[in-house]
This record gives sequence, C-alpha cells and structure tokens, in this order.
Amino acid sequence: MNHLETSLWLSGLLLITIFVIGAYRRDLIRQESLQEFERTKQALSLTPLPQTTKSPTLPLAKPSLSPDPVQSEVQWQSERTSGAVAVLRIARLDMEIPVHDGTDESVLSKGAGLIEGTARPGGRGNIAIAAHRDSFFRGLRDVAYGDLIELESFQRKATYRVSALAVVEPDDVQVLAETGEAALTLVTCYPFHFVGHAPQRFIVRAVATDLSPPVSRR
Amino acid sequence: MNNQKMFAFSTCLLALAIAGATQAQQPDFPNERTKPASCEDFRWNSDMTNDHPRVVDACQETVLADGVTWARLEARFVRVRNDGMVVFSIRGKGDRIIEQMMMEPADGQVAYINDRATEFRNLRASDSLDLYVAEGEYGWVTQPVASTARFTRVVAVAPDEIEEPAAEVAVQGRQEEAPRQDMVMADNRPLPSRLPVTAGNSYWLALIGGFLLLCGMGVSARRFF
Repeated sequence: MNHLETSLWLSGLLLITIFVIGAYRRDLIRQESLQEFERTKQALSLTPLPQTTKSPTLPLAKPSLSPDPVQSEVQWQSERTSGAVAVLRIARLDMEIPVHDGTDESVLSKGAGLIEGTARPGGRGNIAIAAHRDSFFRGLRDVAYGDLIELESFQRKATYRVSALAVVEPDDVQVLAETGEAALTLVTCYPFHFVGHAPQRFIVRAVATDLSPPVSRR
Repeated sequence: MNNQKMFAFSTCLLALAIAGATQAQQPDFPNERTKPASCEDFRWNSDMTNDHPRVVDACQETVLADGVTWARLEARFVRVRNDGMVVFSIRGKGDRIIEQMMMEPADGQVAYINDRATEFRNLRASDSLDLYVAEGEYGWVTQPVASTARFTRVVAVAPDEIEEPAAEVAVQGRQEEAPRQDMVMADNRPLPSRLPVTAGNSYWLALIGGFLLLCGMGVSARRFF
C-alpha cells in the first residue's frame, strides 16, 4: 500500500468519522437541551409564590419572587441565554427539537433557533423558527399538509396544523410578517440535499389549532 | 567583606527599604479576597433559604470584606419597572436561571458593571452584575462593603399588584406599547433582511470523505488488477 493509497483511505475514514461523531454529538446536545428545558420548566412550576412582608434582620433588599404574570418575563429573559426557550415536536416525523433564541451558527448547532423580531413562543403572532436542513430539520422534507406541530414553551403548549408549504428566495422575509393569527413558520434551506449554501428556503406554515391557557404556578 | 559584597548587601537593603515604603503607602482598604471555605460552608439565613431554597445553588464564591463573609451571586438585569423596582434574574452554574427577583434600590444606590458604578435605570438588558448576601442575613447589596445607607429597601409585592411585565416600562426608560396577554409577544429586534442560512457543513464532510474513500478504493483495486 503506497503513501497515496494510505492517505486517501485515512483521510476518507477521518472525514466520515468526523461526520458520524458530529451527528452523534448533535443528538447528545439536543437531548441535554431538552432535559435542561424540562428542569427549568419544573423549577418554574415549583417556585413558591412570594412571601408577604417579613421583618428582615437587616434593611437589605429582600428577594421577592415574581408571581405568575411575571413567568413570561422569566421566559423573556431566558431567551437571552443559552438555554432552550421552547420545544418543537412533530410526532408523525418523530421530531423533538429544542428551540433557542437567535439564529447564529452557535445556536443552530445545538437546535432550532427563534428568528429575531418574530413572535415569542407562548404568545400569539407569527413565531418563526429556523434550523439546519441537514440535521434538526432534516425531517421536514417529509412534512405534509395537516401534520400537527406542537410548540411547548414555559408558559403553554400550543398545537399548530400545517397549512402551507412553500419554497422562497432567501430575501423573501414576508414569510416572517404577522399574519393576523397565531401561526408558526418553520424555515430551512432548500433543496434538502444541496451541498453547500442552498439557494432557496423551504417554508412550512402552520396555524394554531389549540392554544392552551398559560400555565400558572400552583 | 570586599567591595562587591558590600555593594550587593547595600543593594538588598535598599530594595527592602523601597519595598517596605511602598507597602506602607498602600491604602488601607478592605481587601476582598476569596475565602478558602467553599459556598457549602456559608451560613445562610434560615428564613432566606426557607423562602428561596434554590438561592443556595446560586452561590458563586464566598468573599471576606471588613470581617464579614459574603456569598457572591451573579445576576442579570431584566428591567426597571414603572414603580422603580428593579427586576433581576439570579444565575447559577452554566448561566441557568435560579430565580427571578425584584428589589427597590435605595437613593443613590448603584450597580457595578465591570467595576463601574452604573445607575439601575442605565443598565441594559442582560447586563451582568454581582449581588452579595451577608452571612446570616436576609437580603443583599451590590457591593460587599456597602454601608447601611446603600442597602436596598425591602420590597414585598402581592401577586395581584404585579402588572403584566410586557406592559411595563421597557429597559432604559423606553416607553413601549403594552401588549395584552395572548397578544403578539415579539422581541424588540427588527426582522432580518434575509432568511437565516440553515445549511450546515456536515454534507461537505460526508461528501469529501466518501469521495476520498472511493479514490482509496480505486487505487487499491488498481493494485490487484
């Protein structure tokens, strides 16, 4: 076996190994994010209501917990952190993806990302979420009209039904605009098997079928 | 003793004298140093841990200042409310949210962002700051050596007094339209001018790796045929 042959084999195996490890690592990060989301949700639901006035031993600022209405603010704040702010599920496609805030590469490498300036999970409006088409949103190539999408935030669990599928140009940001109804817009690159920066975007639009009331503590 | 040894001895004496004089001129300020003991040894106020059990998890380290031991917590500023209350979220390891809390600063009290005194109303969302809890006390300050005049006032807020957060004054005093619950909760950032790039590079790895393997197979096959 000469040097060229050895180099080709080793390089090929190395790249394939990196590819496999990358996929495995992504799945680990996804699972960790989901667990972290559950823990945070649990912590919020277990957090006690604020105490009434109590004499402190010193005139220090006493921590005062935010009651239910402020829970959305916890979420608002957490959206500026590295933790997941929601979980996206499409049962038919066996997809369960943590949703983080933002769409830069560091965010999209660990899950889906909320597109800046669009509605937040837990509220009404057009919530736009993007993810890589070669990892977390790979399953979207099989999405179909009528599929149910569940979006669980710290506040509530909402169900959406896929109502439209489209392929648009990257500068067609009209798909992010408000639609006047509670909607969910999923964005990923298109074509799905294009190697490199795909020239178009695949859009899944779903409308709310069920918005559960905000979760209240206790 | 020859001249060289005398010179070396004199130089050492001079260096010692200079070091001593410099040390003597150091201001006698309360040194904040990390206590060897860990957060586990910190003596929390029992009322505080009863009301907020998770605050123990937020302890980053313990420090000594003026003979008092303080637990240092890390917090993120959220916003200032209409009524002057300041909303923070306490962070634990890995920047996890431990609790969200509110406090009303005393007159003249400031926060310290990178050691720079900053009024609360001038803080920006997600600014990080340290809060200190004195051992055995229920409450906190923004500096471990704060005098009582700079202690923040106790705030107790009944749940029904809390407004919808999005309807309150936004960060940096910007007045914003108050969305009702269930209305659009969009962040303040503008919509992007282009849809995000969502093409990962994993396909490249697989494609090039596969291509190299094929080439390797080709070269190997050539040896046999």
